[in-house]
Amino acid sequence: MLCDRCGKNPAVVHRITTINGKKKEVHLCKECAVQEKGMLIDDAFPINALLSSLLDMGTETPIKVEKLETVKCSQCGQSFGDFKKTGKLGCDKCYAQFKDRLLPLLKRVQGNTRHSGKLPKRIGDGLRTRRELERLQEELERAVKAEEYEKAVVLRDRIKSIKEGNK
Amino acid sequence: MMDWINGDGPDTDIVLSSRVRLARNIKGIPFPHRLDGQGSAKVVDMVKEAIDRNPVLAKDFKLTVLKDIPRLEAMVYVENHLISPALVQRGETSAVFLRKDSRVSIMVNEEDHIRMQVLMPGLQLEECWDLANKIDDVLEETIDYAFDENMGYLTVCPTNTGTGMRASVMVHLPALVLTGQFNRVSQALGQLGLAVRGIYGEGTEIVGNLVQISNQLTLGKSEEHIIEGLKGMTREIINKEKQARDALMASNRMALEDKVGRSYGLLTGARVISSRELMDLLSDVRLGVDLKFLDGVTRKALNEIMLASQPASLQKIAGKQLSDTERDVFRSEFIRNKLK
Repeated sequence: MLCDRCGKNPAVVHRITTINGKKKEVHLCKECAVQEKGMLIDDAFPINALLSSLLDMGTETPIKVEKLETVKCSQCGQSFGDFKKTGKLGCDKCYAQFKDRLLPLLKRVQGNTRHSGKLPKRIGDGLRTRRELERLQEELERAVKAEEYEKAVVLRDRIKSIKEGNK
Repeated sequence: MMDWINGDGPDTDIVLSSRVRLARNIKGIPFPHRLDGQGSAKVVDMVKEAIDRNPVLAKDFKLTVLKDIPRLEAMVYVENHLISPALVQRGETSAVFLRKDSRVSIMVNEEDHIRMQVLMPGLQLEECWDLANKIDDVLEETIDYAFDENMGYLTVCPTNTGTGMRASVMVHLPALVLTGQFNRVSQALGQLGLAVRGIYGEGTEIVGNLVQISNQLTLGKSEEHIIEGLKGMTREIINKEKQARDALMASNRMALEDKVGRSYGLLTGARVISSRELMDLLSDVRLGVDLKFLDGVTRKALNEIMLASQPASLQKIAGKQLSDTERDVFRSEFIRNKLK
């Protein structure tokens, strides 16, 4: 079958629509299909649509939501409504500005709201030390639970020395 | 040339390549989809400065501005997995810094300001992370990243927030497919938080028994944990695939050898081959090489055929535009020459 539009190349994209019981068929080659609107499906996964539907699972009343959605980020000017439509945040500040609504979403899509991976080197050692202490504390609790007392002693001393070093 | 093509690396009989991608954004600058031409150019300059300041990176990386190269050239990069289709879609404002050995690409103004990817042959996830981490450290010496104490690296899409890391392996699983176990394995992976896709990324169909497995979640676990989890699962899959291959060899060796031989015959004898058909034939022949049924055929040749047979690469080799039909003919010629 040849392309309906150019009549030269073989048709590889086919669309059959039925409107009011009237069936219409369009067969195009790849080149022509690219030009025809709506013939080639966007290859991206519709993650944005999914995200916004997750957002709507919130409990706010519609009126409050509407108000929130027109508030714009002071740095990039994007509103929360824009995010709901596209699934894309506008800048780093959006995260702080829309935090109350983003955190439940992060919890839903990521199952977590707290980063425990890499920290940029220049973020300051304070945070780094706090994180290290938290990690050691967790390890200590695990060691105690598992009755690994020798390990626990080492961990306890390490925690103590970090805390003292910080004074 | 990408070195994973050579087909030598740990576990390359099943794992073709490993990849780690980090998404980063710059503090105080709107994300790419909210930037105009000037703003985007500034982001490219900032990344360039960060690279130039480091003598090693400055020597190893070459900048390509997407709008300065022909679209065909850009599509060849995509087909070789050096850049993403999204970078080409944003071709008006995007750029890529490519390392000479093609193992590392730093894409600028893709969905996020910076997306760096490290690609290595075989199962080398830790090595990929290690290199990506080092390059990230260098960039960070000059660039202030968008980062939040609690939420981690801030990305355009909340599905990347946290580590901003996507780690993946490309695996060839013909025996799991042949023995009907693949769907079960795939479901199990899904339940463990891993995504299973075709080789062309999100939403693509699985062709040629090649599958890409990657982490779904980016927030809450450290990079090392994510890598460890994916690596462990990949090891499991390698074992399962090996068991399935052994079982097939024990029960159906003749049928298997016949299948491989027929596909090899088609590859070398056919005069018209579509890319879809090629991927299926390549899978059989690749399995034949792994099982030592075929002498003189190398993984390297198969990898070269796989890459070169894609539309843009094929037209680049031909040196002219080819229609779908012409491509299928030229593809078969190319294959015959490679397998001579």
